[in-house]
Amino acid sequence: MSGPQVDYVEYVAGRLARLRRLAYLLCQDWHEADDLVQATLTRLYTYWPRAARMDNIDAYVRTILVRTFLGERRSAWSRRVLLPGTAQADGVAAGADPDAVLDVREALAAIPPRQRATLVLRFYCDLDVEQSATVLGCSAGTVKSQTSKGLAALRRMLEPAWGGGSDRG
Amino acid sequence: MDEAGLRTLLDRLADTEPPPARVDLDAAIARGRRGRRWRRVRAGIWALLAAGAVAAVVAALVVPAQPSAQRPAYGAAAPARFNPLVPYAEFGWLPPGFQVGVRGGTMSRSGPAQLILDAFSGSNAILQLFVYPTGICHVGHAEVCSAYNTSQPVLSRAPDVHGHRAYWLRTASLTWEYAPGAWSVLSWPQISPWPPDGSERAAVLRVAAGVRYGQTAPIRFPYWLSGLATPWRVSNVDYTLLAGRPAVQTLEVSNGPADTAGVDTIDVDFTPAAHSDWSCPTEGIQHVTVDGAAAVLDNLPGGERVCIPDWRGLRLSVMTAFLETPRPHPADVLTIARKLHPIGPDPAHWTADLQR
Repeated sequence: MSGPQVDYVEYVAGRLARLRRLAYLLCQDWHEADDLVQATLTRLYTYWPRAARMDNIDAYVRTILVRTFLGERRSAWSRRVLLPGTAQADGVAAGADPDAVLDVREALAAIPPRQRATLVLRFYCDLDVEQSATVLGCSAGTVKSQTSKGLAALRRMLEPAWGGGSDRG
Repeated sequence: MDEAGLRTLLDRLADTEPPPARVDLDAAIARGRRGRRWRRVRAGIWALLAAGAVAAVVAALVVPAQPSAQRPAYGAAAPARFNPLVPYAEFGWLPPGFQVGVRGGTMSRSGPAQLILDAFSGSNAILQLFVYPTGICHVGHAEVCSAYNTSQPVLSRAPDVHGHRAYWLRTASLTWEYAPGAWSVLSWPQISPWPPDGSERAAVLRVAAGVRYGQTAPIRFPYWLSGLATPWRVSNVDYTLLAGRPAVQTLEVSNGPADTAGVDTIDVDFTPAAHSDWSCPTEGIQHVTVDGAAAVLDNLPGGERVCIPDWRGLRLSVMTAFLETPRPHPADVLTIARKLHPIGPDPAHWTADLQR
């Protein structure tokens, strides 16, 4: 195994769990998430000579993963039935409210992939608008728009289950 | 939506116990090697493009026919498809504090089968109106808008809107048939109780009754297109309101019907170059020119983009999110960029005549 390949394997070994979790939030299915990670790592290897010289490889890999997700979803999303209630019932983290976690997974599965990716980048990866725009390859205005639409869609689906009663934005 | 609550739920969802990983690193490396060879082939394609050697690929310019918007009486027939360049509806009345357009920080989306209008309040509540052309939605025990895979259970009958049937939906929404076979959905930010009562109920119904259909004000653009090669067509436009007039934020073109499987899309984004909130990439790029303007070609995995930092005062990005090689054709992004003709950052000079 050559030097760059060793670096690649070491890098992936240290990030695999995190990449799988990000992919899972985008896909809501561990098998699909692993397929997404597999495609991401394949592309990462293709571009590894460039990636290895970057200051922030993690950001680069995240961009590959999200854009791969969006690219594949664009061709496949309408063939999938993304209705609330169709997400598979995987295990739920200990200590979490199972109903709330399953609700949010079903709600995420039901919103358009680009909105979902925007919400995951903003509220799971803690990226700001500009950073999210870089990952998604769009303007900050579009990120704001996708965020508002995604939040509104989640609210529409989650509020009845949450039973909240106050003004929300 | 409570953003902190969403953050917590996403963290918990990500902490779901994963099954053993199926990721095969050896396979990734083997396939990645083949990808490197493919990249070298593509680099050759780009060199040819830069030299103008594939200009013959560009097909004849075709302006796709768009249905014309008319201003019907309330309840008159709605079109079977909207013209994405002319938003079919607008809010007529909003509750105090809600705004649309740049001042309200909102963006709307106009497509052939769905129009989404957003209004924001000072407390960051979002009120959304979805308008569908004839035949997209059907209402029984639930409202089903098939083109968008949405299904919302009906709670009960609501007061008619301008004499047309309306229903309260479980998802804090009101839907009404604004024209035969054509439905609108108003998503309301206040959800308890739902259906609402008192002044809340009056406000929901007043917003619904105030929606104006059959609008004819076109979206204005800071650039125009000398045409789109078949089969590319305008599929969606994200727009805001500038001085009360629709103005583009993102133009989306597709090589097939909007929002359907197997269709590639390319987004055209812009910002004033002098006040830009995003930059063109500087790493891993190829330098090209577009109509004499310096531009960069960014072929990151999962996306291909032409970015022009300053073209007559505009910063422009033409991007696709695809990388499923070899689609879309590597020439498409650059081809469409070269169909753009920037006007400038001053909205007073923008045009509604997008395709010439």
